[in-house]
Amino acid sequence: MQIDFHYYATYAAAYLAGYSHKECMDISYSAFMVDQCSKTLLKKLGADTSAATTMLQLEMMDAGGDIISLQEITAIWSSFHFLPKDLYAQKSKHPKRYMHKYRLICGPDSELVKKTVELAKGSSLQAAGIAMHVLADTWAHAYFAGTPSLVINNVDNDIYEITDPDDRLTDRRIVFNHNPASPDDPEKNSYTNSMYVNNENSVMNLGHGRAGHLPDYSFMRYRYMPAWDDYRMMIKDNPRDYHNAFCQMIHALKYLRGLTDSFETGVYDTDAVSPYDERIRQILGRRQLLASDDWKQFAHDLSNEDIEDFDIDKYQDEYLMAVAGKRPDTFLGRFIDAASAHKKMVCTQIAASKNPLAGFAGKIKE
Amino acid sequence: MTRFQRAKEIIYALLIMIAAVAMIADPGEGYKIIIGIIGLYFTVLGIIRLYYYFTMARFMVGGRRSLYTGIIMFDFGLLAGTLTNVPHYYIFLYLIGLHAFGGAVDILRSLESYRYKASWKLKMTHGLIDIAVAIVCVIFLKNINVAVFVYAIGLLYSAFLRIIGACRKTKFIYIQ
Amino acid sequence: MNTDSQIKLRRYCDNLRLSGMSYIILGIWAVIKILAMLTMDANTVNELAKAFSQAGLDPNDPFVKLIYQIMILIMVLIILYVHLRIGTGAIRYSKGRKKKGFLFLAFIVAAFTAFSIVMDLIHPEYGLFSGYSDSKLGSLVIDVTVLFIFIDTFVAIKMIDRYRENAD
Repeated sequence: MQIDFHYYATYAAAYLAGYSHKECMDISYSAFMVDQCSKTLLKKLGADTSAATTMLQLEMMDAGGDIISLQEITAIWSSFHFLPKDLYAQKSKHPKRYMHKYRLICGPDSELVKKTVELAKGSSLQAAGIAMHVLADTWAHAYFAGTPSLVINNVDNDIYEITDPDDRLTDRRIVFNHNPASPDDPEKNSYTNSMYVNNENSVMNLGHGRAGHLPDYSFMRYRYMPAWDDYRMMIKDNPRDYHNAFCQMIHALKYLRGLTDSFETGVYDTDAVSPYDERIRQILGRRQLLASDDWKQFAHDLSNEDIEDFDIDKYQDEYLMAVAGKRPDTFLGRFIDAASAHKKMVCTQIAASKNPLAGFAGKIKE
Repeated sequence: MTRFQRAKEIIYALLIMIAAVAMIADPGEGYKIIIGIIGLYFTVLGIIRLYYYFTMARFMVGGRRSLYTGIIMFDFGLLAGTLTNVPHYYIFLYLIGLHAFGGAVDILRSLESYRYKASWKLKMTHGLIDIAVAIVCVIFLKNINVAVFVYAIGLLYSAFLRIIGACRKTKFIYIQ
Repeated sequence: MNTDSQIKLRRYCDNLRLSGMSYIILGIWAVIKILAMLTMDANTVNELAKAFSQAGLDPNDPFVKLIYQIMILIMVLIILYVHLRIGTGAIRYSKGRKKKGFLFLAFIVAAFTAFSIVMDLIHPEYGLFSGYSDSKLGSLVIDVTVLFIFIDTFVAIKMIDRYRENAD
């Protein structure tokens, strides 16, 4: 997902869950900060780089193919952007090496997303924001894994956009190119994706790179064959999935706020959304690469407040000028702590399933 | 890295260094060693690709590609090992391509680091050195000794980096 | 969309397409190998020179050289034609075209390949059993691969015909 959903839509969901404007801003800032908090930024702040929630392209290109680099990549991407659906999935006659990767496939309504939301309970607004980012991405990034893997994340070039669900003969073949400088063009049906690289652990095979940004466009409905699904055709309905993500965020945020006793997977707060349902579905269905303006307007109409645009520098001075002992009390300090806690939880769960891809189970070596 | 992996890396690096020094000492024989190394490299790569097919790629849509790629690489490796009269132009082309491409990537990465206000000078230096090596190869295209010398220096450099990598402290993800 | 027939049809079409592409690439690789052996392998070059001399021809004669080069060119074109014909036929069939003309050529080449595998093993001079060499092993590996591609092609076409009927 992109800034339109992680920032503006998250604000709207938080407001519908009953948070104040200021609280909504903190939650939505933290939610989008997950896409900005790289090692490079943390180094600049003098903060612990193990709390990184994303990797810049140059950081990924620098990563080697050794097990330690792979674990670093997997720990970040599986924790924050491709939360695994079923760490104990079974597939007969498949070797362990394959299954380690297969079990990292992302999907919504998982045990891990429940743990993610529960971890944020009683914690900071920053933790809530991080949880919302992770939750939302389980919908958009479903069927891909947060680890470099050709055998899981590859997509062949036969992807078709479903323009009319009732008339499949109108499906249009997506045309991909590998030029990152050329923008995606929905009208010409032309999109960018990462190149095919016949190397299992290449970063080109991380996440949904081979499907380009299709999972991040809320209007997109498409069908394709995932590499792992034995020639079955998968239909990805982003308008429906994003709608579910939005409703599930409200349910989660109500739980975090204490309005409900528990967070359950498979529960979507459609009641809270019903007065605005038509408008939300219009935003989700509109053919545009970024729906920030629409979501921002919607958020503004809800709260009648000015929604500040995201500014990555906003809280950096506060963090840099604080004395070392007081840094955890700053906005970014709380974000960094929450990110570390979430990453530790996810990596622990992955290691507990005897999957070494996100780290070894053991004590810290001094 | 485990101790065994560290030892393996260091021994491998030392062997590469010995081969590189031998090449520089006797460029004529050294050239044959280069052909042999390239042949062995592709043969082993082919076997690795075939192993990958049987353990992973056969479960993937379109995974057969790895099978056929592996076989062609394996055959290329065997062929390269048998050729006895490869004009040194081909080795130069390989070296020029390797260094020019590697240098360009390093320079682009250093520019991106610069944009993010991260450290960029070391990477820029690596990139410029690689480009300079590629230019040297073009200038001395007719001199087989230069080809061997450049290749051997490249081997020494990568062996040196391996030793540094093996001696690096490795982090472990904190799991209680 | 995901009935058993539809899934199997996709699988066999994909296998056929890959077999076709691989056979074309193997053809290009065969040509590269031949040219590499003729220019960069001293043993091959010496043997050719010896063969010319034994036939009473001067290998340095420009006319002899020209005829030799034309023969190499014809051989290369035949190899490329056969591989392209069979490979593109397989790819087109996988995409829905119903013409099977390429199969006749495929059967002939498959038979030759099977014979070639036997010779790769037992030939008194060039066979693997008469003395190991890397090039003999390479030859055997490629021939076995080509035979596998052909068997895969024939099976895939049979299955595609069956599942296309079911899908219809």
